[in-house]
Amino acid sequence: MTLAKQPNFLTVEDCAEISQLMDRKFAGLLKQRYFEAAVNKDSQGVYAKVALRNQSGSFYYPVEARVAHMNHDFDERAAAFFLIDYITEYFAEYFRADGDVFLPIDWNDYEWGGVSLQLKGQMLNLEVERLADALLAGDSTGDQLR
Amino acid sequence: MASRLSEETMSGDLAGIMDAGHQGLVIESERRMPMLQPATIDLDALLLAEDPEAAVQAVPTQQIFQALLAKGPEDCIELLPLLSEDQVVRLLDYDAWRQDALEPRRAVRWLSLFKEVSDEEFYRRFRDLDEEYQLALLGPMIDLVDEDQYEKLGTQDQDALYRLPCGTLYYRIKTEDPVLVEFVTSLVEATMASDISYAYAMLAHAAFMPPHESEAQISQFRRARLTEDGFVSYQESLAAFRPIELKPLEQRWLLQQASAVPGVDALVQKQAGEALFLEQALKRTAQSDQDGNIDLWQRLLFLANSLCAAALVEPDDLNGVRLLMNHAQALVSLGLEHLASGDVTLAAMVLKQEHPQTLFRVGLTLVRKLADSMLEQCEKHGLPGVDDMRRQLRLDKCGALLLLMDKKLLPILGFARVETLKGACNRLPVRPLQFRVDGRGAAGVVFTPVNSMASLMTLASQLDAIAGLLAVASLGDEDQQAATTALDQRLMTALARVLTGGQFRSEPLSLSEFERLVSLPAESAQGFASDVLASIEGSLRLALAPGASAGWSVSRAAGLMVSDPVHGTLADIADLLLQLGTACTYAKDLPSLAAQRSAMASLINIVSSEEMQS
Repeated sequence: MTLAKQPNFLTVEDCAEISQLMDRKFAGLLKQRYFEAAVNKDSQGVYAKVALRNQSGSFYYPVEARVAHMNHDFDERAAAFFLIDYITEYFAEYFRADGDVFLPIDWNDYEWGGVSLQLKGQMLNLEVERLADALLAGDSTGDQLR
Repeated sequence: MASRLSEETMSGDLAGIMDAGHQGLVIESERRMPMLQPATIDLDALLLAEDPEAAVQAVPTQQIFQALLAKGPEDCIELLPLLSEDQVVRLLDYDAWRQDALEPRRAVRWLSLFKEVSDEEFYRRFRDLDEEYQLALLGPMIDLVDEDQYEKLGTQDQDALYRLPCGTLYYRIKTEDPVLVEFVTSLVEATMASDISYAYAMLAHAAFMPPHESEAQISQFRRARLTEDGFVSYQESLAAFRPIELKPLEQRWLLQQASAVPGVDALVQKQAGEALFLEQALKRTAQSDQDGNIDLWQRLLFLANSLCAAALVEPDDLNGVRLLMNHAQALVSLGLEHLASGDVTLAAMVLKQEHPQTLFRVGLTLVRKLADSMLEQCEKHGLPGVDDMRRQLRLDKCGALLLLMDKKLLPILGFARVETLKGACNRLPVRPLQFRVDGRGAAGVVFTPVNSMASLMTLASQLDAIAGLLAVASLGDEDQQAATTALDQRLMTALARVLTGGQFRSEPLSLSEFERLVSLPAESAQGFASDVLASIEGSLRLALAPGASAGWSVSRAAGLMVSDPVHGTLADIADLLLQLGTACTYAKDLPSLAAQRSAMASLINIVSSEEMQS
């Protein structure tokens, strides 16, 4: 990859573009859902999160990956794209298996193309979580949960 | 490994996805085709058969594979010992490969299931695989170490070795993947318990086999076996998408039709919601030939399998194969309906004599002719990048073509029209079924396969509407703005000028013309609009008259007799007039000319602000 030569990290606009590209790549399989991509970095390495979700949040499936890029031969930007690529591969499998391929909910080791990375993912219902939070905070009687 | 979404390959990756024809578009089938769906294999019924082993082995492996995946292989342990050697090999052929590379973890998933039956069965099933399969799986994971080498190793390395019963040889597992480590150790143990000499031979061969040699060999064998099921190579798969010469086929079946007694259902165009024409023909043949239908289903499955490589669908992708089966049936049905001229009795004869792939190509050719005629009109009217698009269509590079359309035509034709055009040019032709917002809340379109002559006519009418608009816009500026200005804007500017009493020209409105437009009373505007529509209709019909040289209708050019090609264009022009009228009504209430101009600038071309001020 030539990505290693590019010093700048991914911007919010880059992430939006990646999300839209993933939307197009899997358009026929999304069923009114869409992707949200985000990347981050710290001294430990680079993190990427791609969530498949619907508008209400009743389906929210964030898949997170991280790599200690300093142990490998690429920079932060290349590392972010490496993670995005891997997550894309995962979602290809996920759709192929009709959503029957799950990830561990806590970080787990994987290897791809000789590079060690970690991955986790958990399907959530943000709508119900919001209602539950409201209930616990005393803002709701719980009627909406019924 | 599939192509990556990373920076340098993004466009190529999307072209590949779009080229596949099914994944990059939202496609829903208008009709259900229950009769044409593959029969679901009842695995429990097979186990209850008089001779379960014979019953299981009599089922084609692809169907067994689909049934096993549907139920979950882990829940079918009782059935696994009944599979034949060939069936097990084919299961691995279908499921243990990705992009022509063996994936040990996928193979291990299947083989490890035999361990649940017994160690003996586990060993036997592995031994019964092709030798190349065995070596391709074990080779990359095994190293043999003799006593001399063992002594030279450090304690940590020595601890990582597994000792063989002779005491002078050790083996090392090269992978750290716990699933693979567990598989290898279990396999060696099971093999040692059953046949120790085979175990030694297996380990020695695996350890000293040159890397990738066995995988390359078994990959060839696999391809040969998959070809028997119709899973041909990419190049061969593309052959199914080549247009076919329609005339000889049409003539042959036209003669048959002339000699046959015409059926009462002849020439009836099937409406949406009715059964697919292919299904009606199958029902007709089923009355006389039940076995023939089973054979036809197999041939349709073979056709769907043969489309897999071009559509980037792997043999184990059940959803993908099912989707291709639907598309294959849609185009076969279209081709059949065309050749049989809608006569079900004749269609039953065509089905017996023509291969489904021929009918598929007939259907595809009908849509391709339409798409090419549309692109020809776009080129004639000077739209940007169309010569390149036509070349891509001829080369059958549908993905690159669709991306070009998005890039070059979207700003000119607008979302809905470009999507219609993309559907017609898609590898698996589709037409818009409905426009709706996608998950993000943006405009989206749901497509449906072109599966009947009625559906083809609908697509033709939609394309006629676009071609008609291009022809009308051409009257306003001789296509001088065609490559740079949005079609709607050219048309609305010309319509606005006519409403102010000027000629149908698309040049920007002058300040005085704009003032007249905004102050035009609604009644006068309505009168002008009716006159404009009548005049445009006259021009369009004149160009369609027999002998007229400037035919704009793509349906006519493709040899289709759409009932009224002008209708769609007039409806679109009326819609543009309505938008213009609404915008004028809104602009009238704005306080200044500059504000009015700004409100209408997205719809019509008006002289620039500087010119306006001067």
